[in-house]
Amino acid sequence: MHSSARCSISISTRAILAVPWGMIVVFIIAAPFLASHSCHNVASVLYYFFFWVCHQIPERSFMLSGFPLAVCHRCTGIYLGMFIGCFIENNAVHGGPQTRRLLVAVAILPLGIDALMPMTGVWTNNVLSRFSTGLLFGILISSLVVHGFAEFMQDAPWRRLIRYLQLKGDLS
Amino acid sequence: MNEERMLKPALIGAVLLGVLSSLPPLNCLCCLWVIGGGVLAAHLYVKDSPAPVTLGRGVALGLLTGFIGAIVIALFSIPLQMLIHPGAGIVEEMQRSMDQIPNVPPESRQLFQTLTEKRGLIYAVGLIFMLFFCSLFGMAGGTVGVALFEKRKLGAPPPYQPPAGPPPPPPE
Repeated sequence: MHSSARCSISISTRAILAVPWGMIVVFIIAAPFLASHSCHNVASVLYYFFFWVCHQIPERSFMLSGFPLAVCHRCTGIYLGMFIGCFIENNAVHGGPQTRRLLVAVAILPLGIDALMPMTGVWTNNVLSRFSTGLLFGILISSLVVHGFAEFMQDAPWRRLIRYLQLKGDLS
Repeated sequence: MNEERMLKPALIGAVLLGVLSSLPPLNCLCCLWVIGGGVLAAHLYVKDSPAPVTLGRGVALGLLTGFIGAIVIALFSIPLQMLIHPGAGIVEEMQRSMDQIPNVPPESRQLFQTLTEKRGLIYAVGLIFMLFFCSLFGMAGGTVGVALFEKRKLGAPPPYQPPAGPPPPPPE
């Protein structure tokens, strides 16, 4: 069926995933941009939608033209990483189950430590640590998702139907 | 492998995702619950699957979990909002988003007030946003779940299972 062997993922497959992630990144940047250009209604609708997925604390968000981005430092890193990861060929995803688990651990652990350690009082995170751990998480997880999405596209129900019809046509 | 077996884990993951993403103190944890719902669905699916599960299956499962999860969020959060802020929950929250933007001219505030009164439209656009958002992060969660919990190598034969019924009678 599908192989986990090294296969080049087509640019169209990468683009299908990159477009929605890119759209989210554009919306995040558009919110302060529109607010600074007097389009307050659209800006507040964008801020409102991202309110559902992020705490939006201004002190923990990047500023653009005096307005905070629609999500925090960490979320900005995650979304940007998910977008960038669509174009990065990561050979680790083609490895066995153990390599993939290691990849997920490398993605999650720095982010988890950065988010949870301040609660213990041992360490305080900063802008760079929040953004970079989010970015690392996004890039690594996105490379895994792109690989899975390529497999999904190979074995999508409509492709199976086409194969079935071709086979039926060959037999008759 | 059949698609019907995906429905039960996807529903369980979607309910977890929907409920935790709607509860006010917990919904500030960014996309964590959406990814968590996808991971849980993948874990349940991998556990019951006789054959190794591919990342492509994880993507399909995550998409389904995220899609159902967005509907659960809508079904759960609208009555919850009405319960917490009787009468004007969504308007108050959008107002809060507007207040985040400094130096908003009164005309814009007036226009925004008119916009927030169109609750049906806001809910519809919000649902589309959540469907889009949850499907993307659900997909990431499903892929991460398969990468974490699938320990079998692709192409390995399924484990031996004894036949369910009584043995056939010996030939006479």
